[in-house]
Amino acid sequence: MDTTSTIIYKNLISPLGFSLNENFKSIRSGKSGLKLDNRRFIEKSTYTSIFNDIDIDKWFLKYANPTHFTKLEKLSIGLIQDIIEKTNIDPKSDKTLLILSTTKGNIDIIDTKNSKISQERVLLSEFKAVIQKHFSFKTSPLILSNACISGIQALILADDFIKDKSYENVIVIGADLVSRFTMTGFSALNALSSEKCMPFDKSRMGLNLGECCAGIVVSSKNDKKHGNARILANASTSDAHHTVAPSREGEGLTNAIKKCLKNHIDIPIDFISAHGTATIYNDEMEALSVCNNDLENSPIFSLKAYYGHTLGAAGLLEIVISLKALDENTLIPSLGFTSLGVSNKINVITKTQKKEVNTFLKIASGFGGVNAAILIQKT
Amino acid sequence: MKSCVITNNMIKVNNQTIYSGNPSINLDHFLLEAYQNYKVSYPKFHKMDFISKLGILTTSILAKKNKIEFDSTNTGIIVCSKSGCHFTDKEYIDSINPNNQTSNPALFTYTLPSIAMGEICIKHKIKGENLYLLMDKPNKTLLSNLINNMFNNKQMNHCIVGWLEMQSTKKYLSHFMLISKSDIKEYDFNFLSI
Amino acid sequence: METLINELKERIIDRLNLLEIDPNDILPDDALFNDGLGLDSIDALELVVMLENDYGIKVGDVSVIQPHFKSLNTLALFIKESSESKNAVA
Repeated sequence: MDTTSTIIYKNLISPLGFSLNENFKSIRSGKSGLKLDNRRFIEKSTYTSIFNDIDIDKWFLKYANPTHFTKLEKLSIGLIQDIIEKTNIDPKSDKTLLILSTTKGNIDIIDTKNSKISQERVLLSEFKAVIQKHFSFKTSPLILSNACISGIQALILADDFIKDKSYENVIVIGADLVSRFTMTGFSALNALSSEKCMPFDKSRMGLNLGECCAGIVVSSKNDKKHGNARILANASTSDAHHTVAPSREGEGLTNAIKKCLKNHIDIPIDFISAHGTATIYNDEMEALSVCNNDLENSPIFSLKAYYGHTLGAAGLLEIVISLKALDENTLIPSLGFTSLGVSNKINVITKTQKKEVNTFLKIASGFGGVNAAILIQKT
Repeated sequence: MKSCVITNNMIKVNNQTIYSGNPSINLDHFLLEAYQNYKVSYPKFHKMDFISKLGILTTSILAKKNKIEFDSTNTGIIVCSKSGCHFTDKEYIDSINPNNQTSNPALFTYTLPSIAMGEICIKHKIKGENLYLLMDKPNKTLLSNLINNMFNNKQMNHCIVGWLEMQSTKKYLSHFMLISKSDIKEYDFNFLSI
Repeated sequence: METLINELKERIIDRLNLLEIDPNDILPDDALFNDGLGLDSIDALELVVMLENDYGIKVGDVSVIQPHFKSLNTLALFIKESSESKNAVA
């Protein structure tokens, strides 16, 4: 009954580059998108990884007129256009679906007074409508919004839809912005670091926020052009403990990983792409969950010091980079890490390494006490 | 068919109206009335935003009136809406102090569409698969597909499914069903919408 | 001090939506967090906002404030001492 489902294309637009290749080059040279944020949205100083808006408009000109669209719409539309051009997927087919993974959508427009853009566009349903209209997607796009595990879950959902033949091609877009809304909020939660974040490090003091737009295509057709991979297994769980603090025993994430790996115990995991937000509690709980599953020796890294925490896009961005790492047979160092600051010893990658890699595990946790794990392998 | 609907200051369980509050009273008062009347007994309720309160009440009354306790590990949950947490977003924006940019941390935690789902999981100790989607209106085919997926591919035996839509304190609808693998054929997935 | 403690009781119950708590049930030395009143980490952050907005006390490092949040008494003492030192500076 199950159809084969393959990841056939991926790309990434971020402050580190307007293509996956540019992004990977930046990562290889240890570049970070994090800069001191001087917009004074909050009183405390913090670092963020944000676009130069002029760069977005310059890039977007080849797709459409920038003045008609919000920042997030430009990023999403540009990336979807790129995907359509490279994969020849027909948005007008009823066998094509778009899944948007985001937490706050166009939330930045509450602060911009653009007469061409109505405040209604802050509604996620309007964000989706603009994109659907632009491409004439026959099937109404779905928005998946489950805090920081959104990106992983959107990819899982796409895979499920291909396997049960609901669709032949699913485009997954993960996108979120840094805004006054999110900065004041995370500041109120005392979650922001005044320095560049340091995942798993003993000096870590919180997260940095970031923005990006990532895209992955899952298809029932095997397309050898762009480096392929498939999803072997996945799981989501709920801590059922607290809305923002992870459970200290890490039960939820431990069980998500356990459930994900249940039928694949013998497959060597070449690396783990962690959530690694660099908050005291997340990293401690995450390391515990990894060790609870006997994965303390698997090379592990976080991308948060390159990109900041991109919320609803994070899972997808980090899977895109991990897929590229599979293509390039490379282990990526966990930027911001010097010495281990979690109680359970994990094997943090400290320098770039050429190594044949075939399988990776991506994990994440999010507000609401949600957790997700996904196992991906090169085909 | 186990379901609960709360809309227009009215509560229906398994398609029968069990409570009709005065439609002109504040949502705040109606929710408190219902909370007390059905002895929900969960002090954290009072700290939640309206959307989470609606979700907690609907699922608690559904459980109570059907005399069930949710199975912790094998119950999945799918919650959908059109408007997400837009209503609470506006409240949060208003809470930002323009003089020092401080804001309400508790309110901020409710500015994710899926937090209501998180609160439901915390109250009822639901630890299984979870999914939050936004769509224009409840899509029967899609929901049926997702629920079957929960049972066939995600090892769930039960699934809580809800349409939790809040546009204003006068225009809201919370419709939850509890579906078990064993009785899925009885359900029509006809979620109400506003 | 008693006026301040009563004021704090009202403010805390109001800000933290502790609808089911009777102000008379909170004793000045009762634990505010965990077992006592059952406040959690988010409540602690809301108290920090209350200190800034209602009492003009800016909290730089939240972990430093923890010992002062032990009970109404310790909180009231902290507020009293902070405003006294501000006046002294002025």
